[in-house]
Amino acid sequence: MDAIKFENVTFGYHNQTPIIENLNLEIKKGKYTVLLGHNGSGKSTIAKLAIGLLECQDGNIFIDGIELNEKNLNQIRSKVAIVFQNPDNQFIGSTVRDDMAFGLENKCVDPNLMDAMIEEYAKKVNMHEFLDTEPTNLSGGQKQRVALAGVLAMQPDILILDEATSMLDPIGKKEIFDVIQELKVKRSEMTILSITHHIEEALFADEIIILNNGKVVKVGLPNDLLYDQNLLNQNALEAPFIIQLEEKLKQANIPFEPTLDVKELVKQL
Amino acid sequence: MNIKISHLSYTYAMNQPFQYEALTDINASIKSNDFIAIIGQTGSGKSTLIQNLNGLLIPTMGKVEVDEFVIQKKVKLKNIKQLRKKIGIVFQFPEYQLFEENVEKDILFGPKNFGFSEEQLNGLAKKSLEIVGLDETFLKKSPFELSGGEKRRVAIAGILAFDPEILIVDEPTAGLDPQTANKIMELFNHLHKVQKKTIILVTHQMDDVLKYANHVLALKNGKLEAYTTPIKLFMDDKLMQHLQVEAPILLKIAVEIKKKYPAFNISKVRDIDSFVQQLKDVI
Repeated sequence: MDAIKFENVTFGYHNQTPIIENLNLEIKKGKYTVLLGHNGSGKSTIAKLAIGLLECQDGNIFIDGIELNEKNLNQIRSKVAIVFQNPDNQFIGSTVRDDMAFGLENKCVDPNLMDAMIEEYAKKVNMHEFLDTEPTNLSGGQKQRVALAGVLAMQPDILILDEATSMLDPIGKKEIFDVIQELKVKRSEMTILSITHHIEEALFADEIIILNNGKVVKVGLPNDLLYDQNLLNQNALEAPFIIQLEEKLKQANIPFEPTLDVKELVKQL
Repeated sequence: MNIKISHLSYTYAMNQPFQYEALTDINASIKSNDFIAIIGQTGSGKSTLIQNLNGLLIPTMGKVEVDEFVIQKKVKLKNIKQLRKKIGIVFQFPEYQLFEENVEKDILFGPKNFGFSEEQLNGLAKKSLEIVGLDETFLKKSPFELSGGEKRRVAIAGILAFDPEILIVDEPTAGLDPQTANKIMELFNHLHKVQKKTIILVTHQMDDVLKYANHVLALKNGKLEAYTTPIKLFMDDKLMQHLQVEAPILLKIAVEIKKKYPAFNISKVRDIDSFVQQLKDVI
């Protein structure tokens, strides 16, 4: 069964040209899927449709096999959690601790267990020293860490990340990525859908879906998709660094054997 | 316009339970027509620093001088509007500041506030859109129906519309796809090179620092740890480790190449193209 399934879904704002039209999409259960696409390709719209923040005009959306409609919206939201690009849009509590507790309270977690859970997840994202800080006083990247911790603590079946690490520095990005990977190992049934154009993140995906103009252009494995220069160019995406470098070396007639290992390449030059 | 920062400290929520010192004793000068990158981990004080430069925040201690303007506690800042017209800030996620019913009105909001005449306003929105690479069909669109990248450009156009001398941009490419991000960085580079504007870029993208910036100002825990050229900073392993910042991979490769070919000129490496050019010269 698919964790998320879109069947002929169409959506547009105020009856204007649809942003997505007749979209079919399958996000496999227990997998780490990366949805790649340029700005305006319809990525975030898909995320909002999947959690019922937007309602599609045509077609059906299934979450864990359940059709998404008004009646079962609450049931579906208990399964799916989302971290938005700008965490300011999802803070509620007056301190980091309160904010993280809000989600857990809604899930009716035993208050005796709550404190330990908050500590645990705050520690995972390196924000445990800020538990009594006001979220508004945090930097952009710190806010993203808190938003992520709050959502992870709820242990959702399906986690959607919408450019959730865009404000983090590269080292911070890697830390968060490792936390997610670690969770994935512990809870193998958890589905992760990451919406991004951070190509290095896509290197570790179980599956990549490339989106353009609200349509699925290609579905495949990182190895098949990320080295296809034409495909990436056509979809306003950028090849991984080493591929870009090798492309220029080729143009300059500098001899080398193509490789994906930077050290190996340096050795040859 | 030159900026002089002297003994600047800034504390949030002074004398309150959430009191937090974000900046400590910063000293630096920024010359007219420089391209400066401000780097540091999340929470190091980058965004706080830029807000102190145009009086959005007033230093808790020390002062900031921008030509004749002095931003200092207990000293009334005269003509603050004029200062803010000269220093334009594009914040993180500027698209969240869009609010007008159409793009044209949104772009003209700033200029109108700064007292531009009808004549000056005429055609200004269209011209500003052109600079950011959007055509006039966008003028009558609602800002809320645009994509993330388009919104970002409209927000930048709204700042460029009042023609600030100093442009401060806070992570302008966060969340943008690589091609849009490149175009926006090239836009700032053009404004710097051709229109001779001073650019202050807050960023995590060390590739951009290497490619575009003349100087880099590095913060850690609210303290100024380095103010030098990108190459000098990136080559200083000890400092980089202290800052917990990673040098661009291209530069790491360049260092290895230099070991093999001593004639290789690292200081000329700014992007893949210049790297390949240097390599061609020594092989």
